[in-house]
Amino acid sequence: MFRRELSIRDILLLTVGMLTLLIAVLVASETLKDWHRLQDIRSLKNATILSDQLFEAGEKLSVERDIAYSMLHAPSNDMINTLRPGLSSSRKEADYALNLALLSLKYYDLPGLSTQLEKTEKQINSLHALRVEIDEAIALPLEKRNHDLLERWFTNATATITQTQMLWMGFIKNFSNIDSAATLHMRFKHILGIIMEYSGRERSLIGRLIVDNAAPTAPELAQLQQWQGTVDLGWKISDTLADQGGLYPDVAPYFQDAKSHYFTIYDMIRGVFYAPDRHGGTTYPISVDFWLEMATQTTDSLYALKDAALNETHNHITSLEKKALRSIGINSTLLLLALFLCLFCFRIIIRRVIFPVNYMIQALIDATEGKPLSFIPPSASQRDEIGRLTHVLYVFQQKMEEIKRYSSELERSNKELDDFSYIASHDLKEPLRGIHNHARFLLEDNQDKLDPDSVSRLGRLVYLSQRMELLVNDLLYFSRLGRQDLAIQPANINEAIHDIENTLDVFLAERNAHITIPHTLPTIVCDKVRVTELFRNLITNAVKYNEKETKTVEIGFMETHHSQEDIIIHNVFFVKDNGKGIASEFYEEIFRIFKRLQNNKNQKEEGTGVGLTFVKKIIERHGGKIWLASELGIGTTFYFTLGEHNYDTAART
Amino acid sequence: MIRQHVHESQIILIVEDSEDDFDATKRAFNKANLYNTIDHVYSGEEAIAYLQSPHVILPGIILLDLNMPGLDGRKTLDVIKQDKKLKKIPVVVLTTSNDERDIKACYDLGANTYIQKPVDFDGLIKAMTRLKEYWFEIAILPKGDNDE
Repeated sequence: MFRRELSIRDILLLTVGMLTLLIAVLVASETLKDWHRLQDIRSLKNATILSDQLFEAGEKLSVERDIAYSMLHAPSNDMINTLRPGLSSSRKEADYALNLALLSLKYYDLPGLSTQLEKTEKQINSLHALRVEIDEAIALPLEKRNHDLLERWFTNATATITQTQMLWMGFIKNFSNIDSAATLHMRFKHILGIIMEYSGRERSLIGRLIVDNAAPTAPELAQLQQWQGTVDLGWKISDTLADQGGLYPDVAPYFQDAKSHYFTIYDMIRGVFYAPDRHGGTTYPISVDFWLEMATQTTDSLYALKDAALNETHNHITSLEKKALRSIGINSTLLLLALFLCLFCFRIIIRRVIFPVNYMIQALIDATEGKPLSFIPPSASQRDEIGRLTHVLYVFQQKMEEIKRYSSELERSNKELDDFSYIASHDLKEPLRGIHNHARFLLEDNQDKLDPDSVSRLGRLVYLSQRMELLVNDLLYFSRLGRQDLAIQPANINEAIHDIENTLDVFLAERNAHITIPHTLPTIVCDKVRVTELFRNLITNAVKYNEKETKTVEIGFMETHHSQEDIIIHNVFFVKDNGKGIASEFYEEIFRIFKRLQNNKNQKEEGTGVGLTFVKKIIERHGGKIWLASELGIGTTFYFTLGEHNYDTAART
Repeated sequence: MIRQHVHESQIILIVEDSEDDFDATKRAFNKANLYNTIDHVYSGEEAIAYLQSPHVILPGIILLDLNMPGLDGRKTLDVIKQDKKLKKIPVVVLTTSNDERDIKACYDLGANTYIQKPVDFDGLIKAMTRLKEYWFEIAILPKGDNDE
């Protein structure tokens, strides 16, 4: 997929970018989670406010219920008048709280709440109708009032309160999975609501009994016991909830206070209910006023508890909000830090890796183009791998300069040497020719006047000058081999060998020598004339230095060859003979110019000792090398390559 | 190129700075049975002066050495081949060098034959015999045996 060429810079940028992106994604997802939580907490906060309103509405309704109940039952106009402001204010407050709560609930539009809302509204409407009846009733004297109304009002108001609580429950359960502590708080408040409601009922009934100075009837007593049981259970549950929800220790004093108020009032009148005889009939030990005072205190303490709990809930939610905000803040800072760190890393990489590497690339390009040494880059002082590399590169550049100097010197001296051998050979030849001719003419013109010794010496002079010419010619040829360009072309080596066989026909036949090519030789790209000469030299040597009755020369080619040092060499030619062999101490020397291993006085074969020198030179000009393996008396094998690039498998036939 | 044969009566001009080589060449001519009159000059300048003198009888062939002090063989050859009157005279370059560059340069300048001076005198006789067979009228030339 990624077939594009990426620079180190791109790769680093990508890597660092990816890492940054990864960190960013991780941190951002955390931040998003925090943000969602913040939203949840905020909605919880709003929900708590609404729940408080609903709760408040229930309470106010309860107060209204109690006051209206008392007024309906009040014997005197004085009492009704005392209670009237309380009734109107509690009605107002209840309506206000209810309306506000219902409006907010409609705004929330939570599923499953609509039926509850409808029910509540219906309930409120019937409550309003009852209120009118109550107002009419309390204007009448006590005995003319409809006692049925008392019951209906109580039942209806209670039902409305219960409905409000149902609504509250239905609303609050939508927020129960946000925070466990907050949920516990809500449940605590729910239970507190139940306590308030049931203890309110108790107080209403007890209040009436005190006013009437009447003992409760059996059903009333049972009713009282049931309510008291509910409140008792409420206390126990709320205690546990407050503990679990972390409402203690702040709420604890209020809790204890409310509880003790509730139980104190109950303790005072309990005896009258259960043992009326001991108290002289049904007379209660407390006055109506004192009862009212105590009841108010109890209600107040419950309110205080409720307020404390509400406050605690608000504090808790505010702290949650703060925590979420802080978390978002920390994550955003982390994200920024990570980005900065990445940028910083990238900057370091650019300055300490990419710049020096680019510099070194340029320096190497300059060095290969032969431009002069440039300045030492600042990265050379770095104490890291790049610094060391830069330093080594600098040293390398200096060495390159040296090598450049040496090579140009070498080139010049090689040129001089070539010119020298060319000029020398020519200039040597002229006097040589003179010497030869004079000796020759002397012999021709004065043979009969000269004594035999002089004739022999002059003959020797002629011979030596001829030999000298051969040497000079070889020297000249050798200098030319080094100087002239190769005529490179594909050449069939089999043909080359056959040509040599043809030209050496007589030479081979006279010496009973045979050339064998067991396997077809390849076609290679080379200077055919020179390579033919190379083979001719090797073949003539193989035949010349051979004393066997039947002389054999085998020519072959190997695609791979294991040298004695166990190195694998490719595309190796070999020329193998069954000649005298060469002692290993001469393996290097035989390639030296004019080096012969035997004096030619005892040998009919003559040579100047340049054959192998030419062979080596031709091979080297082709970029190859030559080596040999030999055993005295058994034979010699010359191996050579002609440079890897010259081998052409496709052309092999 | 149409080959103009050299007549027995025509002069052979040899431009050669070495007395030894001139001696040998003269002797080789004799051995090859060539008896034309031979004029010998020792340098390029002398050769040009000889050829451009007003009353000269132009030689039938010029044998020119390449390596001479002063005006060398190449330059002399160039002058001869640039001259309308002289360029018809066949010029045989006779030199020690068998360097391909020298050979090519001479033919480029218009040399008619290039002969390498062998050290061995027998070689020189052989070369002169061939020269005679190729350039001189008296010879009966076998077809195809030329340009050597």
